[in-house]
Amino acid sequence: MEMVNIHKVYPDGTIALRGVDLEIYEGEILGLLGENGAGKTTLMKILSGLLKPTKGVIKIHGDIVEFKSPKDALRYGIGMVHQHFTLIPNLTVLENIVLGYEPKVKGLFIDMSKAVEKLKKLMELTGFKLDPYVQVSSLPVGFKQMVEILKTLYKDVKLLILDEPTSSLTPIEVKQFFNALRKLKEHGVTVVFITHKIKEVLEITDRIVVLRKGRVEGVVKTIEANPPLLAKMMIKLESKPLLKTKHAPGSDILIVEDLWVRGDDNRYAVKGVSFKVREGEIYGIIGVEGSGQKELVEAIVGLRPYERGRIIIDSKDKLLAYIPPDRTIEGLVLEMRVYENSELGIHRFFTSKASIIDMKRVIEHCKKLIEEYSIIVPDIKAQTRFLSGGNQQKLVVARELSKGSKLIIAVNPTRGLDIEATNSVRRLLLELRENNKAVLLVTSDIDEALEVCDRVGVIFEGKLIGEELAEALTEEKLGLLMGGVTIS
Amino acid sequence: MIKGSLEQFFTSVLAVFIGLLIGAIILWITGYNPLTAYGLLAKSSLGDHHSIIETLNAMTPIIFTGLAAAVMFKSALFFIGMEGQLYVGALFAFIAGYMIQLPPIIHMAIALLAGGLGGLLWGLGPGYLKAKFGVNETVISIMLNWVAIYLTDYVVLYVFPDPKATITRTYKISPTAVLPRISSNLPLNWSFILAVLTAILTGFILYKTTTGYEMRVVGFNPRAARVAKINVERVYLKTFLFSGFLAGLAGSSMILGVFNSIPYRFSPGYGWDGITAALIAQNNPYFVLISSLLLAVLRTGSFGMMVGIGVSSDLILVIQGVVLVAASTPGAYSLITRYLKSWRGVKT
Repeated sequence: MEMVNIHKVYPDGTIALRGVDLEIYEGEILGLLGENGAGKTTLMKILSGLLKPTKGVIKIHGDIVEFKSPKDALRYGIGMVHQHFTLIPNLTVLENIVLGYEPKVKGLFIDMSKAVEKLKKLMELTGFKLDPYVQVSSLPVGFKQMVEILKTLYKDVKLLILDEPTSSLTPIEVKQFFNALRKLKEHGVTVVFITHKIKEVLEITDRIVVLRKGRVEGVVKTIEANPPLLAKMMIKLESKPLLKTKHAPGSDILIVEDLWVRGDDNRYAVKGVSFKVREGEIYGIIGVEGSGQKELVEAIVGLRPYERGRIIIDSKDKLLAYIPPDRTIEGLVLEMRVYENSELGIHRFFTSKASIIDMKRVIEHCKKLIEEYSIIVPDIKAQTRFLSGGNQQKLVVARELSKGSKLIIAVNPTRGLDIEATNSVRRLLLELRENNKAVLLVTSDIDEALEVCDRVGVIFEGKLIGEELAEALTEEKLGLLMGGVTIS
Repeated sequence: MIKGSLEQFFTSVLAVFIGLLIGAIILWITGYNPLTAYGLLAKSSLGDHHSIIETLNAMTPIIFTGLAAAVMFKSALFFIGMEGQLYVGALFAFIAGYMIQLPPIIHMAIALLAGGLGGLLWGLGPGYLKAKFGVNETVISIMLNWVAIYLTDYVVLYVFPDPKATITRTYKISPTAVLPRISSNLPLNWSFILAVLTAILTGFILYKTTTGYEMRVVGFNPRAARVAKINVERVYLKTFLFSGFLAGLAGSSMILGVFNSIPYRFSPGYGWDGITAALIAQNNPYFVLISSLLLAVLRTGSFGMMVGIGVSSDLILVIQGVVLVAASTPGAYSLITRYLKSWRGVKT
C-alpha cells in the first residue's frame, strides 16, 4: 500500500497536506505522529475514502485505486475508527456493530445468530469481552472504544486505521488495548495508529512516520527512535524568529474588568476576566479552543451582550479593527466582488448624500489595499471566493487596518495560512505595535503567542489563569497552563 | 455586475429550453404535434399587434411582483406573499381612485402610490415579526395571502358591488384616476412603462446604494453583516417595506390601468408568477424584465394552443408547469442553498 504525493486543500482554502508520500507494509503497526493540525487525520480520511485528495494517488500492490466513498475503501479492506464516537446510544452493541452490514435472510430479515457468531470470533481474536446485548449508552468510554473497533473489524478490515484511539482510555485500558492490537497484528491485520503521544507510539508501533504542517518530516524504525528525536521532528521551529524590537508600551487602550459573558448554551463561558491592552503592545490570549475566548472577543467587539463587568475602549474613532476567526463566515461575503468586500463595514463612508455608493472611490480604495498589502487578485471585480485563503485573509486584514483605529483585535489571524502568508500577517502585527497601536491577539497557536506577543494571558474554562511576559514563557510552560495546570 | 450574472441567466435560458423540450415530449405522447402547438403558442402571444399588446398587459403586473420577489430573495427572505399584497394594493388603489376627488394627473399618482402603500402595509406586519422576533416569514406570508384575498372578496361583494355590472365587480373609479393609454389606438397603458422604469430603479437601488448593498450582504452572509455592524433586523424590515411597495404597485397598475374597478378574484396568480419570474431571473431586477415576458407569453399564448388544436386546459397547465419548474430550477437551487446558509448563519 502506497500513497503518492498527496495534496489536500479544503474548500475554504486551508491547505492540510502539501505532498505526502506514505508507504504502509502489510502486517505492521505504523505510527502516524504529529501535532494538532499536522494533517494526520486528513491523510487517513483520504486513505479511508472519506475525503478526496486534491492531488495525488493511492496505490495498492502497485495498482492505482480511486476511492469515491468509504465503501470503496472497505472493499479493499481499509477501515477507519474515528476519534469521535459514531455509535448510536440507544442500540445494543450487536445492533451497532452490524449496522449497515446486516447478514440478511431473503433480503428482508436479519440473521442475528450469524452476526453473533462472527462477533464472538472477533472478540476472541482481540481479547475484548463484551455483552453483545447491552445498550451502548450504558457502557463506559473504554468499552465504547472497543465497540467502535469491533464494528470496523466486523467489515472484514485488513488495514485498520485508528485515530487517537487512546485519548479517552485509562492507563490500564490502554495496556489492554495494546495487547489487542498485538493480537490483531499476529492475525495479519495491518494497523495505522494516529497519535500525538510519543510514549505510546514508541511502545506499540514498528515504524513511525512524523507529519508536520502537511509534510512528512521523517520516517524512523521504532527501535531506532527515542523521545527527544521524535519531539524535535514534531515541533521543529523552522522559520527564524521574527525581529521584535524593544518597545515601551504606552497608556491603556482596552481595559476589561471582571467580565462575565454567557455562551450560546446560556452558561457562563467567560467567568470574571480582567486584563489591559496598552498602546504599542501585543497582548495575547491563548487557550485550547472552547475555553471562552470566542465569547470574550464577541463581547468586546459588541456582538454579544455581557452580564457583568466593564469594557473600556479608549479610542476616539468608533470603528474597531476586528479580524474575525473565520474569514469566510464573518469577515467576507464570498459571493460578492473583491471591491465590494473591501468596503464592508466602512461602506457608509463611500456614500454621497442620497446614500448612493461612489463606486469610483470604492475601487480606488480597493486598489490601494491590494497594492499596499500585495494581495493577489485575479480581477478586482471577481467574486471573492476565487481568492486563495491567504489572500482572502490579507484582504480582511487590509480592510480592517484601513479603518485606522487605535485598537486591533485579531482572532487566529494565521489559521490555515501557508508559512509565507503566516509570516506576512505576523510581521504586520509587529508593525502595528511599532506604530503604537494596541493589539489584542487571540490565538490557539503556541508558536504565534510566543513569537509575536509581549504579554500572554492563558484562558482556561472561562478564566484567565496566569499572565506572563512572553519572554518568561516556554512552550512547555504554556502547554501546561493551557491544560489548566497552574505553575506555582 | 452584469457579466457574471449573464452567465447565470443563460443557465436559466437553457433550462427554459429543456422545459420546452420536455413539454414537447408530453404533447407528442398525448397525440399533438409539438411544433404546431408551440407555433400557436408563439403566434397567439407575439404573432400580431393585438396579441403583443395583450402579452405586454399581462407582463406589467408580473414585472412588479417579480421585482418584489427578487428584492425579498436578495435578502434571503423567503416571503411569498406577493399575491396577497397585489390584492391589498388593488384595494388601496381602488379606494383612492373611487373615494377621493382630485385633478387628473395628481389623482393618478396618488392612487398608484396608495396601491404601493397598501402592499407595504401588508408587508409591515410580517416584516416586523421577522425583524423583532425572528418569526418565519414563509408561513405567515401564505396565511396572509388568503386574508388579503378574502378581504378583497368582501369589499367586492358587500361594500362596493356595482349592481348594474354584468360581471361581479365594484363600482368604477373616477376617470381622473384612470391611467391613460400610451397612444389612443394602443390598448396599452402607461403602467407598462412605469414597470420597466421601476425595474431599472430597483436595479439601481440594489447595486448602487447603501441600502441595496446592505441587503445583498445580509442575503449572502448575515453573520458577516452583523460583524460589519450592519443592523440586520433593520435591513429585513426595509426589505419587507420595499418589496411590499413593489407588489402593491402590481395591484394598482391592474386596477388603474386595465379594469378601472375590482373584478371578483381578478388576479390569475400574478403574485405567484412574480416568484417564478424572480427565480428565473436569479433575482436580478434587469433580468426580471425578460423572465416576466416569458411568463406572460405562456399565459396569453396557451389560450391560442387551446383554441387552435384543442389542447385541453389541464394539459396546458401541465406544459406551463413543466416549463416553469425547469426554468426556475437553477434559481431555486441557489436560493435554497443561500436560505440554508443564512439560517445556519443566524444560528451560529
